[in-house]
Amino acid sequence: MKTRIKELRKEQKLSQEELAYAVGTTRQTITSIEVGKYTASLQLAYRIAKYFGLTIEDVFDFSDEEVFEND
Amino acid sequence: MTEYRKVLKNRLILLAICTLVSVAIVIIGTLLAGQAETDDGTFADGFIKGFPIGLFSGAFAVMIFFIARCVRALKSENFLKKMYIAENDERKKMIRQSAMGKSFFFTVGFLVVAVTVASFFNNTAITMTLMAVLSAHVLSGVILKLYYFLKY
Repeated sequence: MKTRIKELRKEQKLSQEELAYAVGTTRQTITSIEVGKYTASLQLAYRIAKYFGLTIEDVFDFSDEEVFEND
Repeated sequence: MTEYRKVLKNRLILLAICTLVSVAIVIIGTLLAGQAETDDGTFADGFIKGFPIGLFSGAFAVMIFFIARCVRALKSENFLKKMYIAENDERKKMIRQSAMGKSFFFTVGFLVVAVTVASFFNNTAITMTLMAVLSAHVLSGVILKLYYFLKY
């Protein structure tokens, strides 16, 4: 899944470690989400979007997503 | 974090009990292995006696490491949060679930007990089979975990 996390992080000069700590996850998970290897759960997606003051749709691109990705 | 602190305190007690049990098994196992030693004993006999001792010595070292981590987390708020995040990270949980499932540690526990009991009764064939099953089970879990870590 495509996301704007990296772009938003760069805008706010935030490291992956700092973002991970703020949203209660690990740096490796943020990396995986950024490169599209892992799809965040609804709760994590909400926490990330809330951290940036945006909605989930603003941060995550659902346009060309299949329904079940983490099989 | 208050709930997690309670979890860590309970875990600390459980780890302390398991550490004492491991030490007791290593001491008893060493004494029994020494007594059972004969001049015509084969390599396999020594191996099946030594395997559980080695296993519990390793478990002792791992438990000391986890005790130190728990103590550090209870003393430092920052480390406590980091440990909580690392343990409850959804990606790690998913990998653990995919690679090992919930029954993995129960199966390992049962196999360790079975190996220890079988080695006590000096049944080489059964002990060797159980050791092979235990090793293959743990190895497959580790390989799958590595695979999923690379995949996600």
